[in-house]
Amino acid sequence: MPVLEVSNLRKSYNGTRAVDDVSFSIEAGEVFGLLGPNGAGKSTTINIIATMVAPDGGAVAVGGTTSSQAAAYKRQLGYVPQEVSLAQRLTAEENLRLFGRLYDLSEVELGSRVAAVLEAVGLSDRASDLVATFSGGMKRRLNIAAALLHRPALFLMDEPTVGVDPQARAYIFEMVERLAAEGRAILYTTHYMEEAQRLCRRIAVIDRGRILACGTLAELIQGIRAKRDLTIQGRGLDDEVAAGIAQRLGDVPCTLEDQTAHFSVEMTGEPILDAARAAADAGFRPTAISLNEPTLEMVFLELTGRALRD
Amino acid sequence: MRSLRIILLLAGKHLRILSRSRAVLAVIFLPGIVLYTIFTFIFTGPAGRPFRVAVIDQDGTPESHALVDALAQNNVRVILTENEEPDGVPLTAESAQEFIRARGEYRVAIVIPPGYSKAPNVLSGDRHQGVILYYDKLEPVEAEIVVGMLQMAAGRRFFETMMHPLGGAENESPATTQSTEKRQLIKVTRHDVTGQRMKIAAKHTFLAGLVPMLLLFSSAGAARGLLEELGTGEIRRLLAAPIHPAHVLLAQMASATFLAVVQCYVLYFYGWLVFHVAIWSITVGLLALTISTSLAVTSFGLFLGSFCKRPEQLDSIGTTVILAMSAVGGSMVPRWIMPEWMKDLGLFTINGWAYDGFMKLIQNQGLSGIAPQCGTLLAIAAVSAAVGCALLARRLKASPPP
Repeated sequence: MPVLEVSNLRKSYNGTRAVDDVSFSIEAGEVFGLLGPNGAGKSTTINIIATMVAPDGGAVAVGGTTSSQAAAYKRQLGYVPQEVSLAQRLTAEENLRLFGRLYDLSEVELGSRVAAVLEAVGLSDRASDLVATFSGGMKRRLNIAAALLHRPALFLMDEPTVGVDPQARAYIFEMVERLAAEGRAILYTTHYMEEAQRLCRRIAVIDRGRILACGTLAELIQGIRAKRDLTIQGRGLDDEVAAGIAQRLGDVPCTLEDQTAHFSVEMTGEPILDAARAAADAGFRPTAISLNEPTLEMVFLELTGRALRD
Repeated sequence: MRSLRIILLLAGKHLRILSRSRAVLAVIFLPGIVLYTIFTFIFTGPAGRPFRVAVIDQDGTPESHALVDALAQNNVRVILTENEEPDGVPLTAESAQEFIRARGEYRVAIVIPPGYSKAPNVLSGDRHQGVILYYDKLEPVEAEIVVGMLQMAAGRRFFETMMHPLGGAENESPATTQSTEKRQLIKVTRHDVTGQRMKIAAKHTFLAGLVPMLLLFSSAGAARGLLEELGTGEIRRLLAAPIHPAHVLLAQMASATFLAVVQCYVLYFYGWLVFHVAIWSITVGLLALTISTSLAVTSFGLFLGSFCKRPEQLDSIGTTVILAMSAVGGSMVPRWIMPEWMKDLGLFTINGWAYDGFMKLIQNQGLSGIAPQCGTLLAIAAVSAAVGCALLARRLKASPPP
């Protein structure tokens, strides 16, 4: 039985569909990625599952319980919100003790669990310090620690690495992998491709409230098997030039960042030669042209017609 | 039982956070002490302070009218009221005493008894009954001023008619202890109408007025904290735990109410220490009034917060509403010097009810005397809390996360 089962979830704000008929399920020990740009509906989906937002329709079940069985349902959830939503003027230990008591941990259990999760997130030596004195990465780790205390079956992690340094990000990745190895189910939202690619066994690509595709990375790439990532680099490569090349390549989807353009091209003909000719016609001299295997970014580009960072 | 534990747990969190911010604590407690001290010193003592004198002319003769006219000419700072109040309510000797005793509209009342004109001064011998003066024993200076005015007025009347040698005496009622050897033209029989009651003085008036105003500002601060926690997602995160939104809101109210009660008692103790406000003789009533007022202002703060989407909105709306309520409700200007319509308007504010309750306690009216005030304040608390909780709970469920 899946730990989380989401069926036909719907939610609108002022007539705008934030979540539109979303369905998926997560098994124990699985990290499930919800990948999409800002405003795609990831946070709303996670907030509905966490009972913080009431859906307009659809159903959510966690471990066989629904939100109508509020206490039993919530005890199976470990919610890690996007914001560091901890009391800044309490210490790390005081914050954790507060959350532990809200989940009815006994005083004896509370002491050992607080020590254990502080150890797990590497903050044992800062237990008595005010959260306000923590760095961004430390706050993020404590944010996760607060969700670990009551040993939930399902973790809801809403972009937990936003705004953290690479070291803290790596630490969070390790924690997520450790939790999955312990058999916890994890719903992980992100708009970073590399995170989804590294952590998630299955990924749902979501945009404008709808799930456009869902599966393993291999399955998603399989869906665009005939496509390749054609990359062109060079000084002076701007939107106008990239658009001109994309048009010459047959109006293919294109993204541009730091003078590097990605084109999703068919594996027919001579795409590199075509690209070189198109660049020359546009009056642009590329420094490099390469043809790569499809990536998750290409999948997203194919599915949405735009880059994830747009 | 679990609900109570959760509420106390979350309320304890608020208080712990608060206790760690010296700046916030200073803002909560210091302005009250400073304002109370300043206002009380400004208005303490009669010097330069106008007061109203009730004149009840029971004689109703040209002679008594002439005395009243002469009184009016003596001191422009005194407002004379002849026979009836400006709004037409008949004023009797009894009601004037009550005004002095309970409501403070008049500090002194002069009754010109029937038959006064037959023997208007001490030169008339034993037939001279003089006038009766009702006053507050604890405001003796004002009574002395009025006695002086009476002598001056009587003198003016005397010189208007004929020149005679001065003579006479001032009588004291058994209720008074003072007597004077001064020889005077008109006999004044003094009655202390307040007896051992405590006086209605600046130290009471401003304590009664400032407490609800300061509590309202603190409650707006608590509501601001709630909005900030909504903005940062702290409350949403708490709600992911097996608790109900009502737990969060009631905890917020519990901590704010506790803080309001402490804030009240800090001011009471200060009033007792510095201005000798007799809080120990009214402990039960004071506790009941304090809790009622604290609940009312806390709930009202929650109610205000429920209307505002952002803390900045609450700052502007809350400050305007609280200042208006405080001005009308007696927190800035004592209610007893307000016109009647303004006093009635004050009853639409928490400040007005809290003010009246405190003044009743000071006048030894006890717990039963302040029952209407406590009841009204608790009703305001119940309605504000119900509406505020409903609006905030609906917002938590309906609005997008931050």
